[in-house]
Amino acid sequence: MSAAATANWEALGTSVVLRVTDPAAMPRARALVEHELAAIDRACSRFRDDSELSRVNAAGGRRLRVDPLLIEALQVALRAAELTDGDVDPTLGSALELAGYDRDWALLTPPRAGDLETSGDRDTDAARGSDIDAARGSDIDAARGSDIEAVPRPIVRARVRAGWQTVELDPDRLTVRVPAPIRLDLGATAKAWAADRAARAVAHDTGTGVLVSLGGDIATSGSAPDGGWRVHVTDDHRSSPSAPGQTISIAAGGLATSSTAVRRWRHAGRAMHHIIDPRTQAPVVGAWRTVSVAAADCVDANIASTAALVRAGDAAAWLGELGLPARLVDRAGHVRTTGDWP
Amino acid sequence: MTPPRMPSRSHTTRSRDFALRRLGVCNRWLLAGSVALTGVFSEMAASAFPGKTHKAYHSAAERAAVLAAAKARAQHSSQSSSSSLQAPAQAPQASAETHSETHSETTPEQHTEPTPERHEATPEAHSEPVPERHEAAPEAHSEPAPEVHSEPQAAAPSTESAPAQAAPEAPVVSGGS
Repeated sequence: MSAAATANWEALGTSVVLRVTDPAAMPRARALVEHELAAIDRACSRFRDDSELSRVNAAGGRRLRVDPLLIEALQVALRAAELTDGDVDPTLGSALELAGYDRDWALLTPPRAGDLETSGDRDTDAARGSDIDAARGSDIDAARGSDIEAVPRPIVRARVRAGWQTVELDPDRLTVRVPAPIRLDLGATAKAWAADRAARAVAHDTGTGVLVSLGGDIATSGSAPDGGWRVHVTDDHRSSPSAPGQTISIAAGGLATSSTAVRRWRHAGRAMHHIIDPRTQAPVVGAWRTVSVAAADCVDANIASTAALVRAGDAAAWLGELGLPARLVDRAGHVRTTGDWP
Repeated sequence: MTPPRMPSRSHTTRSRDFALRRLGVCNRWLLAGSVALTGVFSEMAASAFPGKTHKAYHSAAERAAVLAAAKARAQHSSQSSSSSLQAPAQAPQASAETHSETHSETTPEQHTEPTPERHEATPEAHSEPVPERHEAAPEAHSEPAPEVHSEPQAAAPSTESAPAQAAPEAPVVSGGS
Protein backbone atom coordinates (compact mmCIF):
# COMPACT_ATOMS: atom_id res chain seq x y z
CA MET A 1 0.00 0.00 0.00
CA SER A 2 1.30 3.43 -0.84
CA ALA A 3 2.17 5.90 1.87
CA ALA A 4 -0.85 8.08 1.47
CA ALA A 5 -1.43 11.09 3.66
CA THR A 6 -4.72 12.09 5.20
CA ALA A 7 -6.05 15.33 6.67
CA ASN A 8 -9.32 15.85 8.51
CA TRP A 9 -11.13 19.05 9.38
CA GLU A 10 -14.56 20.64 9.44
CA ALA A 11 -16.13 22.74 6.70
CA LEU A 12 -19.56 23.36 5.18
CA GLY A 13 -21.07 22.17 8.43
CA THR A 14 -19.64 18.70 8.06
CA SER A 15 -16.41 16.76 8.19
CA VAL A 16 -13.80 16.85 5.49
CA VAL A 17 -11.39 14.03 4.75
CA LEU A 18 -8.61 14.67 2.27
CA ARG A 19 -6.40 11.79 1.26
CA VAL A 20 -3.59 12.03 -1.29
CA THR A 21 -1.28 9.39 -2.69
CA ASP A 22 1.66 11.79 -2.63
CA PRO A 23 2.22 13.06 0.91
CA ALA A 24 4.38 15.89 -0.36
CA ALA A 25 1.36 17.30 -2.15
CA MET A 26 -0.74 17.50 1.01
CA PRO A 27 -0.13 21.17 1.96
CA ARG A 28 -0.97 22.39 -1.50
CA ALA A 29 -3.88 19.98 -1.79
CA ARG A 30 -5.39 21.12 1.46
CA ALA A 31 -5.05 24.77 0.49
CA LEU A 32 -6.84 24.05 -2.77
CA VAL A 33 -9.65 22.17 -1.08
CA GLU A 34 -10.12 24.86 1.55
CA HIS A 35 -10.21 27.54 -1.12
CA GLU A 36 -12.77 25.61 -3.12
CA LEU A 37 -15.00 24.94 -0.15
CA ALA A 38 -14.86 28.54 1.00
CA ALA A 39 -15.93 29.75 -2.43
CA ILE A 40 -18.81 27.30 -2.57
CA ASP A 41 -19.90 28.24 0.93
CA ARG A 42 -20.04 31.91 -0.06
CA ALA A 43 -22.10 31.04 -3.11
CA CYS A 44 -24.39 28.27 -1.92
CA SER A 45 -24.91 28.46 1.84
CA ARG A 46 -28.49 28.84 3.00
CA PHE A 47 -27.29 29.89 6.43
CA ARG A 48 -25.09 32.84 5.50
CA ASP A 49 -26.81 36.14 4.99
CA ASP A 50 -24.03 37.24 2.66
CA SER A 51 -24.18 34.22 0.37
CA GLU A 52 -25.37 34.44 -3.19
CA LEU A 53 -28.06 31.89 -2.47
CA SER A 54 -29.43 33.95 0.41
CA ARG A 55 -29.58 36.94 -1.90
CA VAL A 56 -31.67 34.95 -4.37
CA ASN A 57 -33.95 33.64 -1.64
CA ALA A 58 -34.49 37.18 -0.38
CA ALA A 59 -35.09 38.68 -3.80
CA GLY A 60 -38.84 38.36 -3.60
CA GLY A 61 -39.22 36.97 -7.08
CA ARG A 62 -36.97 39.49 -8.79
CA ARG A 63 -34.45 38.38 -11.36
CA LEU A 64 -30.90 38.71 -10.06
CA ARG A 65 -27.48 38.60 -11.58
CA VAL A 66 -25.40 36.21 -9.49
CA ASP A 67 -21.95 34.71 -9.18
CA PRO A 68 -21.09 32.16 -11.90
CA LEU A 69 -20.37 29.62 -9.18
CA LEU A 70 -23.99 29.75 -8.04
CA ILE A 71 -25.15 29.45 -11.62
CA GLU A 72 -23.11 26.30 -11.94
CA ALA A 73 -24.43 24.96 -8.64
CA LEU A 74 -27.96 25.62 -9.78
CA GLN A 75 -27.33 23.87 -13.06
CA VAL A 76 -26.17 20.83 -11.14
CA ALA A 77 -29.21 20.98 -8.86
CA LEU A 78 -31.68 21.40 -11.71
CA ARG A 79 -30.08 18.55 -13.59
CA ALA A 80 -30.54 16.40 -10.51
CA ALA A 81 -34.19 17.33 -10.41
CA GLU A 82 -34.65 16.59 -14.07
CA LEU A 83 -32.92 13.21 -13.93
CA THR A 84 -34.94 12.11 -10.93
CA ASP A 85 -38.31 13.46 -12.02
CA GLY A 86 -38.15 15.94 -9.20
CA ASP A 87 -37.23 13.54 -6.40
CA VAL A 88 -34.15 15.63 -5.73
CA ASP A 89 -35.56 19.14 -5.82
CA PRO A 90 -33.66 22.35 -5.00
CA THR A 91 -36.85 24.26 -4.22
CA LEU A 92 -37.42 22.64 -0.85
CA GLY A 93 -35.88 25.40 1.22
CA SER A 94 -39.21 26.42 2.71
CA ALA A 95 -40.10 22.84 3.58
CA LEU A 96 -36.81 22.40 5.40
CA GLU A 97 -37.32 25.63 7.29
CA LEU A 98 -40.81 24.60 8.28
CA ALA A 99 -39.37 21.35 9.51
CA GLY A 100 -37.09 23.38 11.74
CA TYR A 101 -33.94 23.21 9.66
CA ASP A 102 -33.61 26.98 9.56
CA ARG A 103 -30.09 27.39 10.84
CA ASP A 104 -26.78 25.64 10.65
CA TRP A 105 -27.09 21.99 11.51
CA ALA A 106 -24.71 22.33 14.45
CA LEU A 107 -27.11 24.78 16.07
CA LEU A 108 -30.17 22.55 15.88
CA THR A 109 -31.46 20.71 18.91
CA PRO A 110 -30.63 17.04 18.68
CA PRO A 111 -33.57 14.68 19.15
CA ARG A 112 -34.03 12.78 22.35
CA ALA A 113 -35.07 9.19 22.63
CA GLY A 114 -38.39 10.31 24.07
CA ASP A 115 -39.07 12.48 21.06
CA LEU A 116 -38.99 9.49 18.84
CA GLU A 117 -41.88 7.95 20.66
CA THR A 118 -44.03 11.00 20.42
CA SER A 119 -47.35 10.60 18.77
CA GLY A 120 -49.49 13.37 17.55
CA ASP A 121 -51.35 14.17 14.44
CA ARG A 122 -51.48 11.23 12.15
CA ASP A 123 -51.97 13.04 8.99
CA THR A 124 -50.85 10.63 6.39
CA ASP A 125 -52.33 12.16 3.33
CA ALA A 126 -50.58 15.43 3.44
CA ALA A 127 -49.71 16.25 0.41
CA ARG A 128 -49.01 15.75 -3.03
CA GLY A 129 -49.50 19.04 -4.65
CA SER A 130 -51.90 20.43 -2.15
CA ASP A 131 -51.47 23.91 -0.85
CA ILE A 132 -51.38 23.71 2.83
CA ASP A 133 -51.38 26.09 5.63
CA ALA A 134 -48.58 26.11 8.04
CA ALA A 135 -46.04 24.11 9.85
CA ARG A 136 -47.71 22.11 12.54
CA GLY A 137 -44.96 19.80 13.59
CA SER A 138 -44.53 16.18 12.79
CA ASP A 139 -45.72 12.86 13.87
CA ILE A 140 -43.40 10.08 14.60
CA ASP A 141 -44.10 6.58 13.66
CA ALA A 142 -41.92 4.27 15.62
CA ALA A 143 -41.51 1.68 12.97
CA ARG A 144 -40.54 -1.16 15.20
CA GLY A 145 -39.39 -1.39 18.70
CA SER A 146 -36.32 0.42 17.61
CA ASP A 147 -36.41 4.15 18.14
CA ILE A 148 -33.81 5.10 15.65
CA GLU A 149 -35.83 4.14 12.67
CA ALA A 150 -38.86 6.00 13.82
CA VAL A 151 -39.86 8.18 10.94
CA PRO A 152 -41.79 11.40 11.02
CA ARG A 153 -45.14 11.42 9.34
CA PRO A 154 -45.68 14.14 6.82
CA ILE A 155 -47.33 16.81 8.82
CA VAL A 156 -45.04 19.68 8.06
CA ARG A 157 -46.88 21.69 5.53
CA ALA A 158 -45.94 24.47 3.27
CA ARG A 159 -48.13 26.99 1.57
CA VAL A 160 -45.51 27.08 -1.10
CA ARG A 161 -46.01 24.82 -4.03
CA ALA A 162 -42.40 24.19 -4.77
CA GLY A 163 -41.16 22.86 -8.04
CA TRP A 164 -37.82 22.93 -9.74
CA GLN A 165 -39.44 23.90 -13.03
CA THR A 166 -40.28 27.29 -11.60
CA VAL A 167 -36.63 28.30 -11.38
CA GLU A 168 -35.64 30.56 -14.26
CA LEU A 169 -31.94 30.26 -14.93
CA ASP A 170 -30.04 32.07 -17.66
CA PRO A 171 -26.43 30.87 -17.71
CA ASP A 172 -25.49 33.30 -20.46
CA ARG A 173 -26.65 36.38 -18.61
CA LEU A 174 -25.80 34.85 -15.22
CA THR A 175 -29.26 35.57 -13.91
CA VAL A 176 -31.69 33.59 -11.85
CA ARG A 177 -35.27 34.20 -10.79
CA VAL A 178 -37.19 32.20 -8.25
CA PRO A 179 -40.91 32.85 -7.67
CA ALA A 180 -41.40 34.77 -4.49
CA PRO A 181 -42.60 32.17 -1.98
CA ILE A 182 -40.07 29.57 -3.02
CA ARG A 183 -36.72 29.29 -1.32
CA LEU A 184 -33.85 27.30 -2.68
CA ASP A 185 -31.77 24.77 -0.81
CA LEU A 186 -28.81 23.16 -2.51
CA GLY A 187 -27.96 20.77 0.27
CA ALA A 188 -28.88 17.75 -1.82
CA THR A 189 -26.22 18.37 -4.44
CA ALA A 190 -23.81 21.12 -3.43
CA LYS A 191 -21.72 19.05 -1.07
CA ALA A 192 -21.10 16.28 -3.59
CA TRP A 193 -20.47 18.84 -6.29
CA ALA A 194 -17.95 20.56 -4.03
CA ALA A 195 -16.18 17.25 -3.44
CA ASP A 196 -15.93 16.66 -7.18
CA ARG A 197 -14.60 20.14 -7.83
CA ALA A 198 -12.09 19.95 -5.02
CA ALA A 199 -10.78 16.55 -6.07
CA ARG A 200 -10.39 17.63 -9.67
CA ALA A 201 -8.63 20.83 -8.65
CA VAL A 202 -6.14 18.93 -6.51
CA ALA A 203 -5.40 16.30 -9.14
CA HIS A 204 -5.03 18.92 -11.85
CA ASP A 205 -2.81 21.18 -9.84
CA THR A 206 -0.59 18.68 -8.06
CA GLY A 207 -0.82 15.54 -10.16
CA THR A 208 -1.42 13.41 -7.10
CA GLY A 209 -4.15 10.87 -6.74
CA VAL A 210 -6.73 12.30 -4.40
CA LEU A 211 -9.85 11.42 -2.47
CA VAL A 212 -12.07 14.12 -0.99
CA SER A 213 -14.87 13.21 1.39
CA LEU A 214 -17.40 15.80 2.47
CA GLY A 215 -19.66 14.30 5.06
CA GLY A 216 -19.20 10.88 3.52
CA ASP A 217 -19.79 12.00 -0.05
CA ILE A 218 -16.61 10.84 -1.73
CA ALA A 219 -14.96 12.08 -4.91
CA THR A 220 -11.74 10.78 -6.36
CA SER A 221 -9.45 12.03 -9.07
CA GLY A 222 -6.09 11.05 -10.47
CA SER A 223 -4.49 7.70 -9.94
CA ALA A 224 -5.82 5.58 -7.12
CA PRO A 225 -3.42 3.83 -4.75
CA ASP A 226 -2.73 0.15 -5.18
CA GLY A 227 -5.90 -1.73 -4.47
CA GLY A 228 -8.02 1.37 -4.91
CA TRP A 229 -9.44 3.79 -2.37
CA ARG A 230 -10.84 1.84 0.56
CA VAL A 231 -14.22 3.03 1.73
CA HIS A 232 -16.40 1.73 4.54
CA VAL A 233 -20.11 2.32 3.90
CA THR A 234 -22.36 2.60 6.93
CA ASP A 235 -25.22 4.66 8.32
CA ASP A 236 -23.27 7.57 9.71
CA HIS A 237 -20.17 9.07 8.13
CA ARG A 238 -18.86 9.93 11.58
CA SER A 239 -18.80 6.30 12.61
CA SER A 240 -15.60 4.35 12.92
CA PRO A 241 -14.58 1.96 10.15
CA SER A 242 -15.65 -0.89 12.41
CA ALA A 243 -19.28 0.21 12.44
CA PRO A 244 -21.82 -2.14 10.87
CA GLY A 245 -21.51 -1.90 7.14
CA GLN A 246 -19.22 -3.02 4.37
CA THR A 247 -15.74 -2.09 3.25
CA ILE A 248 -15.11 -1.82 -0.45
CA SER A 249 -12.57 -0.19 -2.72
CA ILE A 250 -13.13 2.15 -5.63
CA ALA A 251 -10.62 2.95 -8.33
CA ALA A 252 -12.24 6.08 -9.71
CA GLY A 253 -15.37 8.16 -9.72
CA GLY A 254 -17.48 8.90 -6.70
CA LEU A 255 -19.42 7.20 -3.96
CA ALA A 256 -22.15 8.70 -1.82
CA THR A 257 -24.32 7.49 1.00
CA SER A 258 -27.62 9.01 2.03
CA SER A 259 -29.37 8.05 5.20
CA THR A 260 -32.41 9.00 7.21
CA ALA A 261 -30.67 7.75 10.35
CA VAL A 262 -28.47 10.81 10.67
CA ARG A 263 -28.79 14.58 10.65
CA ARG A 264 -31.87 14.38 12.74
CA TRP A 265 -33.06 17.14 14.98
CA ARG A 266 -35.85 18.00 17.31
CA HIS A 267 -38.62 20.31 16.22
CA ALA A 268 -41.91 20.92 17.98
CA GLY A 269 -41.04 18.10 20.33
CA ARG A 270 -40.51 15.65 17.57
CA ALA A 271 -37.60 14.21 15.66
CA MET A 272 -37.03 15.26 12.08
CA HIS A 273 -34.48 14.43 9.41
CA HIS A 274 -33.15 16.31 6.46
CA ILE A 275 -34.28 14.33 3.44
CA ILE A 276 -37.51 15.82 2.23
CA ASP A 277 -39.99 14.16 -0.08
CA PRO A 278 -40.98 16.85 -2.60
CA ARG A 279 -44.43 15.35 -2.92
CA THR A 280 -45.27 15.56 0.75
CA GLN A 281 -42.97 18.46 1.62
CA ALA A 282 -42.08 16.43 4.69
CA PRO A 283 -39.22 14.19 5.78
CA VAL A 284 -39.11 11.00 3.78
CA VAL A 285 -41.01 8.02 5.06
CA GLY A 286 -39.67 5.13 3.10
CA ALA A 287 -38.51 1.58 3.07
CA TRP A 288 -34.80 2.38 3.08
CA ARG A 289 -32.70 3.60 5.92
CA THR A 290 -29.41 4.04 4.11
CA VAL A 291 -28.45 3.91 0.44
CA SER A 292 -24.90 3.93 -0.93
CA VAL A 293 -24.25 4.39 -4.65
CA ALA A 294 -21.09 4.38 -6.76
CA ALA A 295 -21.10 6.46 -9.94
CA ALA A 296 -18.88 8.24 -12.40
CA ASP A 297 -18.60 11.15 -10.01
CA CYS A 298 -19.77 12.11 -6.58
CA VAL A 299 -22.63 14.28 -7.80
CA ASP A 300 -24.23 11.46 -9.74
CA ALA A 301 -23.72 9.08 -6.84
CA ASN A 302 -25.33 11.52 -4.44
CA ILE A 303 -28.24 12.25 -6.74
CA ALA A 304 -28.93 8.54 -7.03
CA SER A 305 -28.61 7.78 -3.33
CA THR A 306 -30.86 10.66 -2.30
CA ALA A 307 -33.46 9.87 -4.94
CA ALA A 308 -33.44 6.23 -3.87
CA LEU A 309 -34.49 7.19 -0.36
CA VAL A 310 -37.33 9.27 -1.76
CA ARG A 311 -38.41 6.59 -4.23
CA ALA A 312 -38.60 3.99 -1.51
CA GLY A 313 -39.92 0.73 -2.95
CA ASP A 314 -39.09 1.62 -6.53
CA ALA A 315 -35.52 2.53 -5.74
CA ALA A 316 -33.80 -0.80 -6.30
CA ALA A 317 -35.37 -1.32 -9.70
CA TRP A 318 -34.59 2.24 -10.70
CA LEU A 319 -30.94 1.94 -9.69
CA GLY A 320 -30.72 -1.39 -11.46
CA GLU A 321 -32.06 0.09 -14.67
CA LEU A 322 -29.45 2.81 -14.50
CA GLY A 323 -26.73 0.20 -14.00
CA LEU A 324 -25.51 1.90 -10.87
CA PRO A 325 -23.79 -0.24 -8.26
CA ALA A 326 -25.70 0.40 -5.06
CA ARG A 327 -26.25 -0.96 -1.60
CA LEU A 328 -29.58 -0.40 0.08
CA VAL A 329 -30.26 -1.05 3.74
CA ASP A 330 -33.87 -1.18 4.81
CA ARG A 331 -35.25 -0.10 8.14
CA ALA A 332 -34.88 -3.60 9.51
CA GLY A 333 -31.24 -3.76 8.48
CA HIS A 334 -31.64 -6.05 5.49
CA VAL A 335 -29.22 -5.31 2.72
CA ARG A 336 -29.86 -5.43 -0.99
CA THR A 337 -27.48 -4.59 -3.78
CA THR A 338 -27.85 -3.56 -7.41
CA GLY A 339 -25.52 -3.45 -10.39
CA ASP A 340 -21.96 -4.55 -9.78
CA TRP A 341 -21.91 -3.76 -6.13
CA PRO A 342 -19.55 -6.31 -4.51
CA MET B 1 -69.12 73.49 -100.52
CA THR B 2 -68.14 69.92 -100.34
CA PRO B 3 -68.66 67.77 -97.22
CA PRO B 4 -65.47 66.61 -95.39
CA ARG B 5 -64.11 63.42 -96.68
CA MET B 6 -64.46 60.53 -94.29
CA PRO B 7 -61.41 58.20 -93.88
CA SER B 8 -61.78 54.96 -95.55
CA ARG B 9 -62.62 51.88 -93.58
CA SER B 10 -59.42 50.10 -94.49
CA HIS B 11 -57.30 52.98 -93.27
CA THR B 12 -59.02 52.97 -89.92
CA THR B 13 -58.42 49.27 -89.48
CA ARG B 14 -54.73 49.56 -90.31
CA SER B 15 -54.26 52.35 -87.80
CA ARG B 16 -55.95 50.38 -85.09
CA ASP B 17 -53.88 47.27 -85.78
CA PHE B 18 -50.70 49.29 -85.75
CA ALA B 19 -51.57 50.86 -82.41
CA LEU B 20 -52.41 47.50 -80.93
CA ARG B 21 -49.09 46.05 -82.02
CA ARG B 22 -47.22 48.94 -80.46
CA LEU B 23 -49.20 48.49 -77.29
CA GLY B 24 -48.33 44.78 -77.22
CA VAL B 25 -44.65 45.47 -77.68
CA CYS B 26 -44.81 48.05 -74.96
CA ASN B 27 -46.50 45.61 -72.60
CA ARG B 28 -43.86 43.00 -73.24
CA TRP B 29 -41.10 45.47 -72.47
CA LEU B 30 -42.85 46.55 -69.33
CA LEU B 31 -43.25 42.97 -68.26
CA ALA B 32 -39.63 42.13 -68.95
CA GLY B 33 -38.50 45.28 -67.20
CA SER B 34 -40.57 44.58 -64.12
CA VAL B 35 -39.20 41.07 -63.90
CA ALA B 36 -35.66 42.36 -64.24
CA LEU B 37 -36.22 45.06 -61.66
CA THR B 38 -37.75 42.54 -59.26
CA GLY B 39 -34.61 40.45 -59.52
CA VAL B 40 -32.36 43.45 -59.06
CA PHE B 41 -34.26 44.68 -56.02
CA SER B 42 -34.34 41.22 -54.51
CA GLU B 43 -30.58 40.91 -54.84
CA MET B 44 -30.12 44.34 -53.32
CA ALA B 45 -32.38 43.48 -50.42
CA ALA B 46 -30.59 40.18 -49.85
CA SER B 47 -27.28 41.99 -49.73
CA ALA B 48 -28.53 44.74 -47.49
CA PHE B 49 -30.26 42.41 -44.97
CA PRO B 50 -28.42 39.09 -44.96
CA GLY B 51 -30.10 36.13 -43.29
CA LYS B 52 -28.31 34.51 -40.35
CA THR B 53 -28.11 31.11 -41.87
CA HIS B 54 -26.47 32.32 -45.06
CA LYS B 55 -23.48 33.98 -43.52
CA ALA B 56 -23.03 32.03 -40.27
CA TYR B 57 -20.95 29.25 -41.63
CA HIS B 58 -18.71 29.60 -44.63
CA SER B 59 -17.24 26.18 -44.23
CA ALA B 60 -17.76 22.92 -42.47
CA ALA B 61 -14.82 23.72 -40.24
CA GLU B 62 -16.30 27.03 -39.21
CA ARG B 63 -19.62 25.39 -38.53
CA ALA B 64 -17.96 22.74 -36.41
CA ALA B 65 -16.11 25.39 -34.46
CA VAL B 66 -19.29 27.31 -33.76
CA LEU B 67 -21.09 24.19 -32.63
CA ALA B 68 -18.20 23.20 -30.42
CA ALA B 69 -18.22 26.60 -28.77
CA ALA B 70 -21.93 26.36 -28.14
CA LYS B 71 -21.51 22.92 -26.70
CA ALA B 72 -18.73 24.06 -24.44
CA ARG B 73 -20.89 26.88 -23.17
CA ALA B 74 -23.71 24.49 -22.53
CA GLN B 75 -21.27 22.39 -20.56
CA HIS B 76 -20.40 25.29 -18.29
CA SER B 77 -20.88 22.86 -15.49
CA SER B 78 -18.99 19.68 -16.08
CA GLN B 79 -21.79 17.58 -14.69
CA SER B 80 -24.76 19.45 -15.94
CA SER B 81 -24.59 18.28 -19.52
CA SER B 82 -24.95 14.57 -19.03
CA SER B 83 -28.46 13.41 -19.72
CA SER B 84 -28.34 10.47 -17.35
CA LEU B 85 -26.66 9.35 -14.20
CA GLN B 86 -23.37 7.77 -15.13
CA ALA B 87 -22.08 4.50 -13.74
CA PRO B 88 -18.47 4.36 -12.62
CA ALA B 89 -15.84 3.38 -15.14
CA GLN B 90 -14.88 0.56 -12.82
CA ALA B 91 -17.22 -1.14 -10.41
CA PRO B 92 -16.40 -1.12 -6.70
CA GLN B 93 -14.47 -4.10 -5.45
CA ALA B 94 -14.85 -5.98 -2.23
CA SER B 95 -12.13 -5.20 0.21
CA ALA B 96 -10.51 -8.53 1.00
CA GLU B 97 -8.88 -7.25 4.13
CA THR B 98 -12.20 -6.54 5.78
CA HIS B 99 -14.23 -9.36 4.38
CA SER B 100 -14.46 -11.18 7.65
CA GLU B 101 -15.50 -7.98 9.35
CA THR B 102 -18.17 -7.49 6.76
CA HIS B 103 -19.46 -10.99 7.16
CA SER B 104 -19.80 -10.55 10.85
CA GLU B 105 -22.26 -7.74 10.31
CA THR B 106 -23.96 -8.60 7.08
CA THR B 107 -25.20 -11.85 5.81
CA PRO B 108 -23.64 -13.90 3.06
CA GLU B 109 -26.98 -13.61 1.38
CA GLN B 110 -26.44 -9.93 1.01
CA HIS B 111 -23.66 -10.57 -1.44
CA THR B 112 -25.32 -13.18 -3.53
CA GLU B 113 -28.95 -12.22 -3.61
CA PRO B 114 -29.79 -12.60 -7.29
CA THR B 115 -33.17 -10.97 -7.53
CA PRO B 116 -33.36 -8.12 -5.13
CA GLU B 117 -36.79 -6.97 -6.20
CA ARG B 118 -38.45 -10.09 -4.97
CA HIS B 119 -36.90 -9.77 -1.56
CA GLU B 120 -37.46 -6.13 -1.12
CA ALA B 121 -38.55 -5.20 2.33
CA THR B 122 -42.11 -4.06 2.60
CA PRO B 123 -43.61 -1.98 5.35
CA GLU B 124 -45.01 -5.19 6.75
CA ALA B 125 -41.57 -6.64 6.87
CA HIS B 126 -40.50 -3.89 9.22
CA SER B 127 -42.56 -5.33 11.98
CA GLU B 128 -41.21 -8.82 11.57
CA PRO B 129 -38.62 -10.07 13.97
CA VAL B 130 -35.21 -9.00 12.86
CA PRO B 131 -33.44 -11.99 11.42
CA GLU B 132 -29.95 -12.84 12.46
CA ARG B 133 -28.61 -11.70 9.11
CA HIS B 134 -29.09 -8.04 9.12
CA GLU B 135 -27.16 -4.88 9.58
CA ALA B 136 -27.44 -3.42 13.02
CA ALA B 137 -29.11 -0.09 13.37
CA PRO B 138 -27.06 2.79 14.67
CA GLU B 139 -28.06 1.96 18.24
CA ALA B 140 -25.65 -0.90 17.94
CA HIS B 141 -22.90 1.64 18.49
CA SER B 142 -24.11 1.71 22.07
CA GLU B 143 -25.55 5.16 21.73
CA PRO B 144 -28.31 6.56 19.57
CA ALA B 145 -27.33 7.96 16.25
CA PRO B 146 -28.20 11.55 17.12
CA GLU B 147 -25.90 11.44 20.08
CA VAL B 148 -23.17 9.93 18.01
CA HIS B 149 -23.71 12.65 15.50
CA SER B 150 -23.85 15.56 17.83
CA GLU B 151 -21.02 14.57 20.07
CA PRO B 152 -18.17 14.92 17.62
CA GLN B 153 -19.77 17.96 16.12
CA ALA B 154 -19.78 19.77 19.40
CA ALA B 155 -16.21 18.82 20.06
CA ALA B 156 -14.83 19.34 16.62
CA PRO B 157 -13.35 22.70 15.69
CA SER B 158 -15.25 24.35 12.91
CA THR B 159 -12.65 24.47 10.21
CA GLU B 160 -9.22 25.13 11.55
CA SER B 161 -8.05 21.94 13.14
CA ALA B 162 -4.61 20.86 12.15
CA PRO B 163 -4.36 18.01 9.69
CA ALA B 164 -4.55 14.78 11.55
CA GLN B 165 -2.29 12.24 9.97
CA ALA B 166 -4.45 9.15 10.07
CA ALA B 167 -3.29 5.70 9.19
CA PRO B 168 -3.39 5.49 5.41
CA GLU B 169 -4.77 2.00 5.56
CA ALA B 170 -7.89 3.00 7.45
CA PRO B 171 -10.83 3.16 5.07
CA VAL B 172 -12.64 6.42 4.62
CA VAL B 173 -16.16 6.21 6.00
CA SER B 174 -19.07 6.96 3.72
CA GLY B 175 -22.32 7.39 5.55
CA GLY B 176 -25.23 9.70 5.88
CA SER B 177 -24.46 13.26 6.84
